[in-house]
Parts: sequence; C-alpha cells; structure tokens
Amino acid sequence: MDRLLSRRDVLRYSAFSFVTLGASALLSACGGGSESPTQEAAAQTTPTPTEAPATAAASPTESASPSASPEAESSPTASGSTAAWDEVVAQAKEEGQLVLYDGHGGAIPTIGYAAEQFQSEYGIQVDVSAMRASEGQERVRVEQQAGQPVADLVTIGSTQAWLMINQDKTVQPIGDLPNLSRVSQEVMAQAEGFGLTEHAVFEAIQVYGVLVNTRLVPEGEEPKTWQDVLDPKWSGQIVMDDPRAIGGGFVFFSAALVALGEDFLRNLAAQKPVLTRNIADSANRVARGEFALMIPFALGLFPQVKDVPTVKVVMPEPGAPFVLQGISIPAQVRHPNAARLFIDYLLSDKVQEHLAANYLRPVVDSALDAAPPEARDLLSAPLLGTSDPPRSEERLALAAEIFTD
Amino acid sequence: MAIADIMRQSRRRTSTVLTGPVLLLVIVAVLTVSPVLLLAYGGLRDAPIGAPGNLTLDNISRLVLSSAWLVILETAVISASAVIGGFLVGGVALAWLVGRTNLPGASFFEAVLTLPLYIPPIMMAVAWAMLGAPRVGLLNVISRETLGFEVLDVYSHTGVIWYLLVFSVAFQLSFAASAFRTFDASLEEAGRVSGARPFRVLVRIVVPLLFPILSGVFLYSLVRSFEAFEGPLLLGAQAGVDMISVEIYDLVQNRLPPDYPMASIMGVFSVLIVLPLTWYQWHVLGRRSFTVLGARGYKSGSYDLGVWKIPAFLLCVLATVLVVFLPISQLVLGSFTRFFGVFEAGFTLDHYSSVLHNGQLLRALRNSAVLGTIGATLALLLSGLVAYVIARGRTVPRWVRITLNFLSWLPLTVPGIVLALGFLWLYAFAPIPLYATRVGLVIAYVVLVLPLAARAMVGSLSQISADIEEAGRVAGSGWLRTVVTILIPLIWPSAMVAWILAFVGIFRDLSTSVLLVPPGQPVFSTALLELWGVGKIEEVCVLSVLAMLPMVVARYLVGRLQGYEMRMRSTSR
Repeated sequence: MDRLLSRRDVLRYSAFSFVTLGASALLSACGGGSESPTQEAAAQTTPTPTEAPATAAASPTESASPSASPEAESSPTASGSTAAWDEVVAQAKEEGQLVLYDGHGGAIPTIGYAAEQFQSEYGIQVDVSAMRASEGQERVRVEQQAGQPVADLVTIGSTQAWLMINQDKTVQPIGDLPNLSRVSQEVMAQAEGFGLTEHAVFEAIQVYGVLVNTRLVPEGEEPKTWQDVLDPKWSGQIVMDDPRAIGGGFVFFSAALVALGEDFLRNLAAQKPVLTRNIADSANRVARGEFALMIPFALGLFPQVKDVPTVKVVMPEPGAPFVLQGISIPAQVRHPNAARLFIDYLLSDKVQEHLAANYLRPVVDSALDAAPPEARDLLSAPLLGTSDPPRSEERLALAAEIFTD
Repeated sequence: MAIADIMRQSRRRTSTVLTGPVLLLVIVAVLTVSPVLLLAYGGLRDAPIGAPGNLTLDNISRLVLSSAWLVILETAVISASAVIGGFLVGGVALAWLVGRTNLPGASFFEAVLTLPLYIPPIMMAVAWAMLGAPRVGLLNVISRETLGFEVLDVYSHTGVIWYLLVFSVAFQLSFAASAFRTFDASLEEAGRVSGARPFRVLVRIVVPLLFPILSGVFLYSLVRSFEAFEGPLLLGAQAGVDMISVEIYDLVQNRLPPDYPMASIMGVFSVLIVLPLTWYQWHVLGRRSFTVLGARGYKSGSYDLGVWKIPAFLLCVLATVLVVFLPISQLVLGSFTRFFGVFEAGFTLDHYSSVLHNGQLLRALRNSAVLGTIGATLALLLSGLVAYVIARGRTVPRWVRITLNFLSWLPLTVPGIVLALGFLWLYAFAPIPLYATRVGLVIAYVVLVLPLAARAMVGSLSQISADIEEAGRVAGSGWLRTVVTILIPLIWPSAMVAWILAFVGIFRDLSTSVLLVPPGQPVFSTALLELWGVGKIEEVCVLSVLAMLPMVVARYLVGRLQGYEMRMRSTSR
C-alpha cells in the first residue's frame, strides 16, 4: 500500500515539475521552426531603436546623424541630423545600462577602458563579461532563440562576425554612426569584401608578428622573413598558436596559405612547433626561455611582456597577418541606443588612441600617432592577409590535415 | 467497519508521511536530471538546441565510428594510472600512517597533504606548469644541476598523470585516514596476539576490512580524475593528451561551427560510462559505517611504529614537499616576482597592490563568498533532508530511498562543463527567469556540490543509532523537537564539515561558473581564468595566495570539527 501511494505521489509531483520546467524547456527549445531568430525577433518586438527590446528592424536612419557625443564634436561626422543623434544619446542615457559580451576574452584592454570612460562620460553603466569568442557566440545564439536577450553588444573577430551574420543570424544591422566615416578605407574595404559592414563595426586591427627570446636568439639572427622560420635551427624551438582552431593561429594559416603557399605551411609543420591555444601563456613561456620563437604573436599581447628583458618582437617580411576586431548588436536587445552610442564611442579619438598605445592598430588612421614610437613601425607594417570567413571550414580542415601528426 | 476506518486513517497518515520524501525526490530529480535530459535531447538533434533541426541518431553513430573511443580509453588509462598511484600512496600508506600510527605530526601531515583539495585546480595546474616546464621549470633546473637530468616534463602524459596523482593522493587520504582512525583496534590486537607481524596485520586484516570504503574512495577518485578539466587542458592539450572533458570542450570551443550535438552525446556517454562506477561506489560507501562502527562500541588506538618512526616521518615530509610545498611555494614566489619565472626581472609588491585596487577582482571575491555561502547553506539543507530520508526514513519505501540516494550522486557523473551546458540550455528555455541570474548560478552550484554534501550527511546520520531518536520520542518529544534537541547536536560537526566542503567546492569551481555567471558579476574562478587568459600570471598568483588563506582556515576548521566529532562520539559511547 505504501508503495502504491508513494508512486502515485511521485507521478503527481513529477508530472507537475517536469511539465512546468523540463518539458517546457524542451518544447520551447524545439519550437524554433524554420524561421531565423532574427526574423522571429523582428516579428515579435517593436522595431525602434528607442524602445527596448529592439530588433533587426530598428531603423538606422532615425539615428544616423552627426554626433552630439563629446568625441564627435572634434571629429568628422556622418550624414544625417544632429537632432536625431541627440535623440539616440538621450534615449541611451535613459536606458542607463549596457551589457557587453567581450568575445576577445579580455585580451584587448581597451574594451574595459572604453567601458569605464563611457560610463563616466555618459553615466551609462556598462557590464562587461569577458569570455571566449565561441562562448559569446553561443550565449547570444541561445538568448536570441529563447527570447531572453541579455547581451546588448558582443565583440568578435571577423570570422565569428561572419558566422553570426550568415549562419546564426543573431545580429542586427547597426546603421549609420557619426564616427563611422572616420574608419579607414582599407578597413571598410576589407569588411565590405566579406559582407560584414552592415552588421559589424570594426574598431581595431590585431597585427601578428614573431616574439623572440633574446637569450636564445642572438642579435641579428632573428627571422627577417617568414621563410626564415623554416630554418632547421628553429626545429623544436617554436611555440605556435594552434591553427586548427579559430584564433590567431588560424588567421596566420589563412594569410600564409594565400601569400606564402601551402608548401610553406607544410614545411613549417615539419619544424615540429608546439601547438597551443593559450596565447598569453605562450608569450610568457617564450619570455622564460622555454621556446625561442612564438608564431604568430599578436601585438596586442606585447604590453604584457614588453618590460621583460628577454623578449622582443620582429615583423618578418613581406608583411603582417592581421584580423579585424569588431563589435555587433544582437538581434534583440534591451538597450539598443546605448549599444549604438557605445559602438560610436569605440571610434572616438580617446579609444582609438588607447588602442594604439596598447599595440593594436586603430581603424582611425590619425590615432596611430598615439602609439609608442617602437610600436608605430610594427603597427604600420604592410598587411599580409587575413582569414577568409566563408572558407574557414575548408581551411580549418586543411590546417588539421597539415598540423596533425 | 471500525477496522476499515482505522485502515483508511492509517493510509492517510502514511500518505502524509510520504508526501515530504516524495516531494523531495521530485525536487532532487528535477534539479539533477533536467540538465542531463536536455543534454541527451541536444545529442539526439542535428542542430544545437534552439536552432531549427530534427531528431536523429547520427550523432551516436558518429561517436561510435569516430576515434572518440580512443579518447575515452586514453582518459581511462590516464585516470586509472593516477588513481592507482594515489590509492597506494594516499589511500593506504599515508592514510594508515597518519590515521593509525604514532607518527610524529600526524595531524599536521594529514591537514597539509589534503590541502590541494581546497585549492582551485587551475592554480595547481599553473604551479605545476611552472615547476615542471622543460628546460626552465624550477624543478627541472634543480634536478638538472644536481642529478644531471630533468625529472618531469609536465606537458606530457606523465605530467598529466602526475597532476592528477597529486589530487588523488589528497582526496584518498582525506577519506581513508578517517576510516583507518575509526577502525576498531581490538581487531588489530587480535591479529597481533595471534602472532602476525604489523605489515601482515595491515594487509590481511585492516585493508580487507576497510575494503568497502577504500574501494569506494578509489572509485570516487577515479570518477573525479576521469572528469578533470583544468589540468588536462593546460598541461595535456598541447602534448596531444586527449581527455574526455577537454575533447568536449574542444568540440564546443574549437570546431567550426561548434559541434554541440556531438559534445552533448559525448557528455551523455561520459555519464553512462561513469554511472556504473558511481553506482558501485555509492553501493559500497553506503555501507561504510556498518562494518566497524557498531553500536557496541569500539576501541581506537595508535600503532607504535618503533624504529620505523623516523623513516615514516621522512616519507611524509617528502610527500608534503612534493604534493604541497613545491606548488604552493611556486605560487607564493610568483606573486612577488616582477615577471613570473624570470627572476632577474626582480621582485615587487606591485601585483598585490594591483589586485587589491582592482574593483572587479574584489567584486569577484565578494561574489564568490556570497554565492558560496548561500549555495553551501542551501546544499546543506537539501542534503540534510536527503540524508535524513535515506538514513532515517524507515517508513519510506526502499525504492524511494535508493532512487533519492542515487540521484544525489548523479551530478558526480557529469563533467562540470557538460553540466553547465545543460543548465545553460535549461535556463534559457525554461519558463522561469533563471537565465543569466545569480539565482540560476546558485541552483547549479547546489547541484554541483550535492553529492559531496549528501555523502557527508548520510555518513554522519548513518553512524547514529536510530534508538537515540526513538528514545526521545518515547519520552514524549515530537519529531521536530527530537531532531532539534537530539539529532542536530550530534551531527552539527559533520554538518559544518559538509558546509565547508560545499563552500570550497563552489569557490573553486570553474567549469560550471564559466558558462553561467551573470554579466558584470564575475566570480573568483572566472576572474582567475580571465587574468590567466590575458597573461597576468603574477596576479593569478596573488589572487591564489589571497584565496588560499581562507582555504587553509577552512581546512583547519574541518580538521578540528572532525576531531571534535570523534571525541564526542567516543565519549558518548
């Protein structure tokens, strides 16, 4: 009898709990249908940038205007009316808050700096969550699918941006911004080439060189061209950002594949580099003398080791692999105006100069003057090439084939 | 008619009595099974959860036909190697020495050697990465100078095994030492009186009698090693050491597009592999107290090591240096170096200043303290109820108790990162607003530490005779009064230990926190990871040292409470 009663109870409670929680979750999760989340979001929410949550249908024209932001006053402005942008600024202040998923994993200190400065200038609280790029992408995807938007902004590289635009369809058009016209033509052309300009704004260029341990590599023996790293003397002396996963190593792989050829990469693999995905730690390991060279080395990491007497950076010819670092607005957001205002702020002199001071190439050319003298030459190196987002899957497979024993 | 009424009333009473346990069973089931179910569902789709897609079995066939089995096999071999070593060193040799003999400083050694359990794994991985790095690792530099060769390449299979071994020694020692300590000395005496030498007594009497608990601890340790994440990621990934948790991470992190369905199905398989081990371990551990801690009383005692006292002492010193002193010294030293590992760059206090003036880091520490306190308290309450039903619920059907016990173990079988993914999806698509909230994070924490807290509480309650409670009721006390006035005074030391262990478990967790922390509310482990990610290892060391102090206090308190409880029970007997 006990068993009968208790089982009945179990069924009763189980039915209640699982139906309301687990089953609802499953049903919600599988109820995605064939519509993209962006389309669904657009259909469900009011499409104005001054109401939350806003969507892909948020009208960029309403706010595409000359800037009323402090920086824009001293900089060229985009087309549109000052009044409309003033309205964006006013609404942004009313929204009062912003959630930013930093898919650069905190590796670009300027994001934190910009958040602090933005908060102090506009009084808008910015909550930054540093995470890996794929985590940012997945969180945004889940939030958009579930209709529970948390992130107002997500920082991403060009490959991730391409995926979010074309595959996940989880970001919305950003529209015109006052400071957008300040972005260099080179960067705009690059972004345009991948069809990213509408949904992403790129605030910086990560440039890659080679980190050298000066104890293990005598003066004058550093690699002067990329071909030099194939010298047998470097065999077993190289730590390499793993090209088999999205990241700097893959950017280098993609750029080298086009500029230097597949044989170069196969010969590089024959050097038996140690592949790692912890790039910050790799720089430290070169500084400590575990390895002679780190390939590729993101210049943005240099401030971390520049005071260490055992390292220096060289930029082999013919040029530097690079990747565009950008930011996007998810399809549904709670603070659309604050998001746009923040993106515009990233293109301001203050933020762009901070990027340059931290060894990241600014997208506003004039800000390069703020870079330390020793960094200016490195950051001004000719660009070798970058990843090709639409062909990423195919190239990752090739990288796996070449660099897996 | 009257008999029928009595029977009806009896049924009603039984139904009321059962409502609580059954409700508890359902709560525990929802908490522990829902994320796993969602994970299984994700593994049976051809697209990530939430994205348009169809149900399919393709992921299972992909898994079966892929090289994933080799990864699982490699994980098993690595884990088993580490745990067998940990068992022989920590589970038997050291546990017997500190728990059963007159070894000088036994309590000190026990406390220090189990300290790694209180330190976030990522910190230990960082420390060993420094110590055992080829060419420049401190350990290798010293051994090269003195022995002429390098003793450890931490970026290798050996390195990963060594890293897991350190935790395994600490873990097995922490459980086994108390088992040796509470072992009835009269059984040993009987052996000795019969002419057996000490080693023979240990091998033929003590170990066999403690086999259930030792094997349970062994399996528990094996499961933990099987699911280890931070060390294998930091030390093993670059050397091609494939561990299942890292493989799952790789599927999510490094594939284009992220292979969530495959990661899900691999997570489910991981659960299925570990489940039988957990079942057995639950089964044997569930009986632990009934073999040597009978109500008739027992005799505790110390075995005199005689001339072996000094060698045994030196052995413990060596173990302490290798397992604890070296990595912790490396972290402390690193916190003062201007640049980690480059001593010629000089020493500084700047990193301490930087950390102590970093509002974000201090907020992370505060968040972890608050969430840890709330999570541990809720886990204690839940595990207390679970333990009460399991150990005391005589009127509760056996299958309810077994299921409850099993479910309270279930989270142990799920790798942290997989559990976090299940919770992420659950919260996102659940009708209750838990996504990206601290409440959601706390719930995940409660589930995460439930096995540990429940085990501690079940163990404690099982050792107290039900007669004591019944005597209280006979004397006229109600259930609540009996629990408050009799039971709680007897089990509070264990409850405190369970609380501290739960708090530490939450504080040091990374794999669950990393996906569930709300924006702008970092916790200690995610802040640590962020610092590590941007190469600020010196600040990682500072944060580690700062966090270590309360952890040492926690370890001290656990030791004191366990000692107090033993004395209390000895006196009561």
